[in-house]
Amino acid sequence: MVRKRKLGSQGLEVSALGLGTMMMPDSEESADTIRGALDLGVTMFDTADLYGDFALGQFGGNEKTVGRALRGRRDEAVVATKFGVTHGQGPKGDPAYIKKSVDACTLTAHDMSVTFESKPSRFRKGSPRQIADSKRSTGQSI
Amino acid sequence: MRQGKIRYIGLSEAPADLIRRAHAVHPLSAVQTEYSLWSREVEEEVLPVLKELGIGLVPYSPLGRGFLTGQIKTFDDLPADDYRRYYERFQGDNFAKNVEVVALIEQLAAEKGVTPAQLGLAWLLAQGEQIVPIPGTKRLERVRENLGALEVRLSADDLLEIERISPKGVAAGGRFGTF
Repeated sequence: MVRKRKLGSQGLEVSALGLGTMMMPDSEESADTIRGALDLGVTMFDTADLYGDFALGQFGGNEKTVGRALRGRRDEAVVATKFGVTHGQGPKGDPAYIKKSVDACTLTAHDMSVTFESKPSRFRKGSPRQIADSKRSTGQSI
Repeated sequence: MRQGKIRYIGLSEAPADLIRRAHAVHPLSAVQTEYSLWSREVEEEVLPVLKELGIGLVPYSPLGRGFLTGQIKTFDDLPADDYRRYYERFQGDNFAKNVEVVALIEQLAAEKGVTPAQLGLAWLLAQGEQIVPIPGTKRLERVRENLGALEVRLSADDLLEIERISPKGVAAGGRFGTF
């Protein structure tokens, strides 16, 4: 079995190697590779709202590729997605946009969201604070 | 997060000060950034902060976008529509210099009976217990090969040898390209 590693101090534990899916086209082979990786013990799959079939000039859609591949086995995997950087729409981080990113995958849940952020100035109006707000409003811990 | 749809939060390509600020607002589980034998900028400020705060590191392009696998020998190995043709490290003199380093990595990997990809990933995994690389591939056989890195044991001498043949900053050309 593939050994695991802890990410952070919130209880997240994943296979010591994950699978990056950025370059995967939306194809049967991609789905087979994702499911095959899961069979081999890989439990973390990295996607993003921005990713898609770049060779075809198609942006977006990679989350759905991952979501479809994991259908029926979703609880075995940790899916990390990213938002904040869009194709042609500038930085984005409003709650509706994030919800779309999460729901778009036809996944029941995303286990980790990673925001593409590089400039501190963006953070003030960026998504992490809004997510933090939603946590604070319920008092839930993750 | 309220609906339980997002369970953990991370940042991608964030500088150390932003990581500190974000972590103070909501605990971060991971930070994602490029990290590999030829992209070690994260070691300067980011990795120490992640270790201090107990945040995971998820290296993307852990094999230098395929270059460190040793599978790309010439610029023309890249298909005409391959995005890597626009990356500095894959171009001209940079390519020539970088492929020489990869040849040394291949040689060391062969001596250890592993593939260059396995050596590169094993080196990365040895840089900290909280590191979880995400090599990308379309092919299951590559996933299998990459997982082999988990069985590679690098001795202190191995790590020194890797540092000697592929020291920090060895890559010719910037991390990105112009599109």
